[in-house]
Amino acid sequence: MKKLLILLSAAVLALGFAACEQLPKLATITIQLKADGAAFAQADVPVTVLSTSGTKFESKTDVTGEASFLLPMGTYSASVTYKTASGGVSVTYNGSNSNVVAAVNGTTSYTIDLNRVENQQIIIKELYFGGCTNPSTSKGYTDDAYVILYNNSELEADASEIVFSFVAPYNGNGTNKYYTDGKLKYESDTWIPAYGAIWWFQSPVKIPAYSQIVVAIFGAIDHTATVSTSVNLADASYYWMSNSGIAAYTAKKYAAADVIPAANYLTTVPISQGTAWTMSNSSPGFYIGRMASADAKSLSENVDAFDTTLGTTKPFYVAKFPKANVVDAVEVWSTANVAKSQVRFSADINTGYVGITNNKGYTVYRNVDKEATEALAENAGKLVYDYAGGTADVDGGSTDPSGIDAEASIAAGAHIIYSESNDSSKDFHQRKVATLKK
Amino acid sequence: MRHRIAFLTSLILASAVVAEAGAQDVRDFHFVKDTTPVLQLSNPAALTAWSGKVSTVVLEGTKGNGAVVPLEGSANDFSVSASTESFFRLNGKLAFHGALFWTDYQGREMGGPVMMNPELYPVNFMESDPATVGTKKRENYGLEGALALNLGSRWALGCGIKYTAGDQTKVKDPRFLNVLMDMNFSCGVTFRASDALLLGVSLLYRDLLEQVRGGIYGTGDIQYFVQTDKGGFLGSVAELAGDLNYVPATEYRPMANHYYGLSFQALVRERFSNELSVRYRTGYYGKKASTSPVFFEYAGIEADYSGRLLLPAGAGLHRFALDLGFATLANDENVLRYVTPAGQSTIVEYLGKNRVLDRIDMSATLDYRWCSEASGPRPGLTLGAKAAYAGRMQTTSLFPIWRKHATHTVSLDLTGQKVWTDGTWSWVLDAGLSGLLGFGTDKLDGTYGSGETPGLKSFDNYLGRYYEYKTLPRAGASLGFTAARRFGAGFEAFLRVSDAFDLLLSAPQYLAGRSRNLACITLGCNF
Repeated sequence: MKKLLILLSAAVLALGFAACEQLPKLATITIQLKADGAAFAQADVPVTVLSTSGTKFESKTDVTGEASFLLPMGTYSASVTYKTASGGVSVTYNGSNSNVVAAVNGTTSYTIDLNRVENQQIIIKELYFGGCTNPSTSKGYTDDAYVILYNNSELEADASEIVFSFVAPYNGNGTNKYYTDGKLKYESDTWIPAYGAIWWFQSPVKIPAYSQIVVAIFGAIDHTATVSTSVNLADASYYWMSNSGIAAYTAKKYAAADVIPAANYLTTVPISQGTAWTMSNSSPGFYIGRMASADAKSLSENVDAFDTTLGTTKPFYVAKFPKANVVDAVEVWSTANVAKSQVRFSADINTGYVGITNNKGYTVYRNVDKEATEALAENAGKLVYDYAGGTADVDGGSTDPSGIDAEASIAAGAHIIYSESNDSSKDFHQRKVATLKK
Repeated sequence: MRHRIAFLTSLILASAVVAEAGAQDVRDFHFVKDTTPVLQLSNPAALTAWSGKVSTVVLEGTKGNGAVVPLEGSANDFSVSASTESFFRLNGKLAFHGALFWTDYQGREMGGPVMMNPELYPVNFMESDPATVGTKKRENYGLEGALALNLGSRWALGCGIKYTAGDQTKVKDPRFLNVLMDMNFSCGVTFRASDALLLGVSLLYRDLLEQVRGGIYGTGDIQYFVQTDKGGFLGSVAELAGDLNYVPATEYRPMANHYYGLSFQALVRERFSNELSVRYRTGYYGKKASTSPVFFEYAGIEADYSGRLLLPAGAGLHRFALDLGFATLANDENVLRYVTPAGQSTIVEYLGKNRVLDRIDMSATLDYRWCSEASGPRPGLTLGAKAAYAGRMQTTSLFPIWRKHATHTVSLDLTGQKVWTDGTWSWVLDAGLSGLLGFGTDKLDGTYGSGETPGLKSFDNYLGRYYEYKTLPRAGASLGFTAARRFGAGFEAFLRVSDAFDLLLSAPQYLAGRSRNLACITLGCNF
């Protein structure tokens, strides 16, 4: 009996010590940057590694263009945005690898192929899609979505051939059938998905320098008349995705205020033909492109050329939108589902994501390119700092790292140049109040 | 309803069987159980060392009010229960222990932890919005049985099973549904080394399975979020949607626990029992299937000692009870991803695991009681004192952040009971005073290295409530009155009313109140 007790005590102690606190197991992961197939031998290029749980690690490259990380076991997305000037033109090198894994006896070396991006004139300044809470019902209200296009240059921009669409799946955390072995089907192809519909203008549209236009996505009415927390989209200068006249959209009809002229209506031919015009209200992968309306219509009608990865029936049709025509994109993930979300844009279009919580009136707003904006001589004394419009105080919050309050600065007469890195995590943040909310 | 009818039928049948078997003078069930060390042993074979017969049937209603409750409690709850328990020797070779119970619980304005037994698990899930609190309903059914057989004059063999089934639902969105199954199986032998010494060894197996799912039955345009507490109220937040997140909205997901144990017993002169047990615990959260993830896997060791000592003092009795407990638990989170091989369904690929929690639980209880009489139906005067300690220390590691969290609770209870007997009637007045204080570390955070962690959240409101409940000093008092009447020699019916009140001695910051009152009415019988 005594021996048994001693044996038992020893076993308890041994197992107890075995269960005692362990230090985290870490793996050394190296990431080599490449451009045009060769090493991007540039020192001090910042490389960001983001875990699926949202933890971010940063390192810089050595002279060979390689960055190293010490990471816990996990799956990561690595990304690079590196701005430089070449021949007097502002150039951004960006790229990502969403298949980095730190595992026991796993791969330790990864590469990121960088893309060379010259900045665009027309950009997405704001995408308000998540809606607000209707105080009278305590339910979400998302019929008030809109997008603001902005001319990010000192020259007038022609937006007549700007088109709008989004990638699949609807939600960033939805099942993504385009992934095989951690890689998007169209990663190295010449197209990205155009899901739902491609919308185009029906009349010429010009955007003056450092100015914007507003496009209502669902209903172009004064939503505040029924939902006080919403926005007023009844303005003669606004545009509207005129979905009420689309025959396939039978389930829900939206309206536009009379003050909006018919010339400001956009139109479409549904691609994935559901019974209502819809877009994710939690996590869309939204983009704009440049394409003649006739070409957009043809692309939307050419069923034979559709991609059927999602399915072979109409609700799952996807048109192949040429990458060369993409002007700007924003990848949005629901802050509640970041761990399960996957990027939907190939790295040559967009890397990273911006997180948002919907139904609270929050909006996705572009960050200011502080250096470029401050460099404009006409901005002297007009820039407003100490930006507090982000949501750093709430769950899933973020803010504009430039610290410049863009809307207040514009109101003071400043010209804002927004960030264009083609990395949504660096170009956008979650803003507490939609800019059209008065 | 079907379960309730079956339960009550079983209860009545069991009572009838036991009443048939009983013929000696009836004694208070709990007094007998408390002062009979052999009945405290987990080895079913030890039942053969006792030759008495005692049974009880109890119907009870309890009403609780006040916010000094654990996270999974309610400040306004009500429960009713029915139970029966018996120990008796069938004949010279066979001894029996049986129990049945049923509990129906209903608590209002409940939110917080999603699981029914949050203290038990290394990872927990909690509602993120205080505005979604609602009524929770819980039902538990239990069945316990043990049979012991003498194998000659020295050896005895016994087997026992305890099975509990339960379910819980919340009647407001998000509506979490829980299903519980808890089965304990034990089998052991005893050896009568001498007239004064009984030795025993038994094997234990426990299978505890709680399954949970979320449900949204109201309007679907409201997002609900679930906080995942990976230890120390540090973790992440995910939407209650689909089946990919920790808590699914479309299917049940199991928290499975298995215990494998070995226990040694030594009983000296029927007055001094010792039991040393060790259990290996293993478990996981998730479904073990190629298309469904297992998110967490955990394991630990538990060891405890339980001792009972009776010292006669004239006609009276000193009873000492010592219980010591020690448990470790380590939880690993699996690193996984979903992959879709060409032409196949999406499957889960496991890439490794990260240790996210190391936990140590310790407990000690010393309970002393003096009874003026040891052999009667119940002692005329009983005085008792109990000192208890319970501690939990844990480290949560969510790289690059770590958190240390510890609670230590010390309590002291003083009790007294006076019995007046007049013919077939007995009146019992009992009273108690209690005090509790605690200390520890609510959170001590640090980092292993650099890195931004916007995805990690500290659930400070829940942490505050938990910590205050464990550590804020409190005092309490209780008073109970029992009227009992004997019918013949072998049957006694009783009615008891009692009330217990606890008051926090310092103002809470997170708990919604500083008092708790429990009123209870019990109708039962001993036979």
